[in-house]
Amino acid sequence: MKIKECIASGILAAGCVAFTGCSTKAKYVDSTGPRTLVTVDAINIQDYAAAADTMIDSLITSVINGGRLKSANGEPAILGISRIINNTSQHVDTDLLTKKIRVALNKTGRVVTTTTYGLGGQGEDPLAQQILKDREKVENKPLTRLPDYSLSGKLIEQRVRSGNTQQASYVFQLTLTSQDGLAVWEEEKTITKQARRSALGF
Amino acid sequence: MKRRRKIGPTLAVLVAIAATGCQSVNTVQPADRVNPPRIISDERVITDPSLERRVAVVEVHEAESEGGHLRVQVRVQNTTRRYRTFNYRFEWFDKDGILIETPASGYRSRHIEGGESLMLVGVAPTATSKDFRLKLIEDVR
Repeated sequence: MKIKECIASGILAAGCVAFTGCSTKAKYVDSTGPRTLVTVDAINIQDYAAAADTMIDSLITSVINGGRLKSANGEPAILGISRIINNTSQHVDTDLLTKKIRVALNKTGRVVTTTTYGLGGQGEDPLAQQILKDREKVENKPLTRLPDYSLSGKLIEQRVRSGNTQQASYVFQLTLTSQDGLAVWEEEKTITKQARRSALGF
Repeated sequence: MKRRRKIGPTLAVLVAIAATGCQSVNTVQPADRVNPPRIISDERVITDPSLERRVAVVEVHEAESEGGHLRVQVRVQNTTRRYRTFNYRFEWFDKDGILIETPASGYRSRHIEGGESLMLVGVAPTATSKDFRLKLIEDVR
C-alpha cells in the first residue's frame, strides 16, 4: 500500500513539474531598471529612456542653465511639438521619446508645452483647442499663444552584419527651433546593439 | 617528440583565446589642468566588492551652474584588462532629502574598455535638487 502511495505521489509530483515547465512564467520588472529585455530588431523601452535622458541633460545644461531660453514677460517658454520623422524600419510612437522630454522640461518650471497649437492647425488636445476657440468668440480677441520654440527631430536606423554578428544602430536627433527660425539647440544620441547568431541558427 | 609538436600549437591557440578581449586603453592628459574640477568627499556603500574592484569609483566632482541645476561627474576606472559592461543611475533629492522622480531617470548601460577611465555625468532635473546618489550595478542581462 505504501509503495503504491509513493508511486502515485511520485507520478503526481512529476506531473506537476512537467506542467510547471510548460507554463509561461511572467513577472514584473522595473521599466527603468537593468533587467529589461534587449533586442537588436527593435528600439527597446530603455533605449527611449537613455535617449531622452541624454536630450534632457543636454537641454538643461546648454539651454536652460545657460539662460538661453527666451519667452515673453519672463514666463515659462512655450514649446510646440513639431514633426519627428521616423526613418526606421519599425512602427514607432515618438511620444515614447518626446513625452519624457516634455515631462522633464515641465518639471524645470521653465518650459510649458502647448496642446492647442500644432501642425496643420491641429492641436494635441482637440477639446482644449475647441474651448480656446469658443473663448475667442465670446471674448472677441485672439487667445491662442504661439509657441516660442518648436521641437522637431528624426529617428534613423542603420544595420550591418558581419559573419554571425548583427548590429543595429538607432540614431535619435532632435532640434529646438526659435520663432526666428534658428536652431538654438541640437542633439544627437546613437544607441548601438549587437547580437550574435549561434552556429546552429537558434 | 611528436607529442611536443602537438602541444606547441595548442598552447598558442589557448593563449590567443585567453588574450581575446584583454586589450586595454592608454590615456594621455595635460599634467597641469587649467580648471581642475571640484572634488567632493563621498560616502560609499559597497555590497558588490567584485564590481568595486573591477569598475572602481575614483573621484566625484560637483559643480553648480548659473541656472541652479547641480551637475555631477563621477570618474570610474576599469582596473582590469577586460572589456566590461555595467549599469548606473543618478538619483536626485530635494532640499528635504525627498527623491525627485523623472520618467527618464533609469539605469543606463555603459561599456568600458580594459584600463579605461571614463566620466559618468549627471545633471539635476530641477533647480531644487540639492543632493544626489549614484548607483552602480553589474550587467545583469
